[in-house]
Amino acid sequence: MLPKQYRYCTVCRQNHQQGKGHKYSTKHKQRLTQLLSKAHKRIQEIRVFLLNNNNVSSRLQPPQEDHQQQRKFWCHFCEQEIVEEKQISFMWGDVIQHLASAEHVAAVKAFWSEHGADVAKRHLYVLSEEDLEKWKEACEVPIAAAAGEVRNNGKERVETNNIHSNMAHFSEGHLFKLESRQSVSLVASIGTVQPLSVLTLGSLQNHGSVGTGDFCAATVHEHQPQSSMSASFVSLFLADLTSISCPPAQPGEGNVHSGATPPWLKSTDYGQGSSATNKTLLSSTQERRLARMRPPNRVGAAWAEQRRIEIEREERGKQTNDSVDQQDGAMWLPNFGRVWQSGPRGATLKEFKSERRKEAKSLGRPLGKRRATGSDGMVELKPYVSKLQVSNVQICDFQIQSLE
Amino acid sequence: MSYLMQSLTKKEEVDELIRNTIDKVLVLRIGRASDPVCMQLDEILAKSVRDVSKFASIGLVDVDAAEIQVYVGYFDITLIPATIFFFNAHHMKMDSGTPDHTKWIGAFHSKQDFIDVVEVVYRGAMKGKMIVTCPLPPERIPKFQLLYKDI
Repeated sequence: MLPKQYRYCTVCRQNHQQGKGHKYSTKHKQRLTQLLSKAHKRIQEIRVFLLNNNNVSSRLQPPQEDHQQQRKFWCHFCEQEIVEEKQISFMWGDVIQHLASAEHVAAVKAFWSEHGADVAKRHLYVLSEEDLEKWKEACEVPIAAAAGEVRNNGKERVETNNIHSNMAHFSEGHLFKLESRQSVSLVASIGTVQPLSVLTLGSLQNHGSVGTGDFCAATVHEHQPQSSMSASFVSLFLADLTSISCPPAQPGEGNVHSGATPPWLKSTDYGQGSSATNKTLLSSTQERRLARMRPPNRVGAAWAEQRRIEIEREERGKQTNDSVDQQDGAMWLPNFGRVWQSGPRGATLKEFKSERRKEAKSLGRPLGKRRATGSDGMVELKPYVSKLQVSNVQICDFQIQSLE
Repeated sequence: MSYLMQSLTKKEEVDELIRNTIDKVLVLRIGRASDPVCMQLDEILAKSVRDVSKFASIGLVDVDAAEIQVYVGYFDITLIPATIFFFNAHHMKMDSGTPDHTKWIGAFHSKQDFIDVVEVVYRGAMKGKMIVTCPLPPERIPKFQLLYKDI
C-alpha cells in the first residue's frame, strides 16, 4: 500500500499524512480555536468602528499616528496582509471593506470546510453588506467637512473639532459634569491636575495652553471618550446617575482627599458594640492556623490583630455577664460534641481534651471526674452531723418546752 | 434590593461595621434604595453576597440619613450610587481610569465584574497595597466628569 501524501495544515503549520482526518485531531482543534479567537478579537475591535455611528470624529485617523506606524491587518482566511492606505482618512477603512468583500466571504467558507470549525460562528468573521452600506453613508458626511481640514490645519483642527463633538455629547447627556468639592491640597498647583485629567481620560490629543482662570471650563472641553468605547455602554450607565448635593464643609474638617481622620476612627465610645458581625464558628486551633497563614504585611495587619483581641475580650466579658445574669438564657445551646463548629473531629477532640485538662487544673483535681463539677459548685460544705444526734436534740428541746 | 439586604442609617452602625470587619474586604454602597441605578447595583450586590462571603462583606448605607452626612462629606460623594472599599478599617483606593480613585461611581456591568473588582482589592490588600488597578476594561467602567469648585 502506498503511503499517504503529505499535506500542509496552515493552522498547525506542519505537514501531515493524516489526510482529511487531521482536522478532527485534538491538537488541530485546539490550535484552530486559538486562532479563531484571536481573529475574532481583532475583527471585533474593527467592528466597533463600524457600528459606532454616534462618534464620527473618532473614526478619523489621528494624523500624528501616520508617521509612526502603518496600520496593518493580517487576514487569516485570505492569508494576506491589508495595509491601511493613508489617502483614506477613516480608521480601518480598507480592512472594513476587505472584511465585507466577496473574496473574503468565499475564503472564510473555504477555510471553514477545510479546517472543520463551527459553522454557527462563521458570521462573526465576516461583515455584512448592510453594515458596510451604513458605514459608507455615515462616512460621507464628515469626509466632505473634515477631510480638507485635516491636511490644512493639522493639530489645531483636531482640537477644535473635538471641542465641538464633546459639546454635542454634553447636550445629549452622555457625559456628566458635576460640581465637586475636591481637596484643598489640589489647589496648590493647577499643573498637577491637568496631566492627571489628561492621563486618566485617555485623550490622545495635544492640549493647548490652559490658563488658571478658565480651568473649570477647560476640564469640560478636554474630555474625549476613548475611541474604542462603544456609546451604548456610556449611555447605559450615565444617563441615570443621580447627583446629590454635598453637605457644606465645616471649617477645619477635611475630607478623604486631604487626608483627614476618617469618621469611623473619630468617635470614642464603642462600649457595647454588636460584634456579631465577626462571630466565627471556628475552633481555637483553626483560628491559630488561619492566623499563621495571614501575611504579616497586609493592609492594617497590626490594627486587625489589636482589634481581634479587643473583640475577643468584649465577647468574653459579655459571655460572663450573660452567664451571671441569665443562666438559662444564652447557655441553652448544647456545647457538647462541638456541634456548632466546623472542622475535623480530631481537632474538636483535641480541643475538648485540652479544655478538660485546663478545667481540672483550675479545680485542682485529677482528670476523669468532670461530671461532678456542675453540682459541686452548688453544694455547701458542712461538718458532719449525725442524724441520730439531731433527732435527740429535737427531742430534748421538745422536752424542755413541755417542762416549761 | 433593600428587602434582601438591610440599609444602615446610623453612623454608629457604619462605624461598627467598618471596625469589626477584620481581614475581609468591606464593600459599602452609599446610595438611595429608590434610585434606579442604585437598584441595579443593589441587585448585583445581593446576588454576589454569597459568592464573595469568604473574603468580603457588603453593607448598604442610606445617603439621605442625617447621621450619614458625616460620611457623605468625608468621602465627598456627589454622585450616587458610590461604592467604597475598606480593608481592616483602612480605606482602599482603586485606579479605574476615572478622575476619582477613592470610590466607584455607578453600577457594575455584571456580577462577575463586581466579583473581579473585590477580588483584586482583596489580593492587593493582602500584599499591603492601599491602591489597586481596576481589572475591568475601560468600556465597562462608568465614566463621569468632575468639575473642580472652590479652587
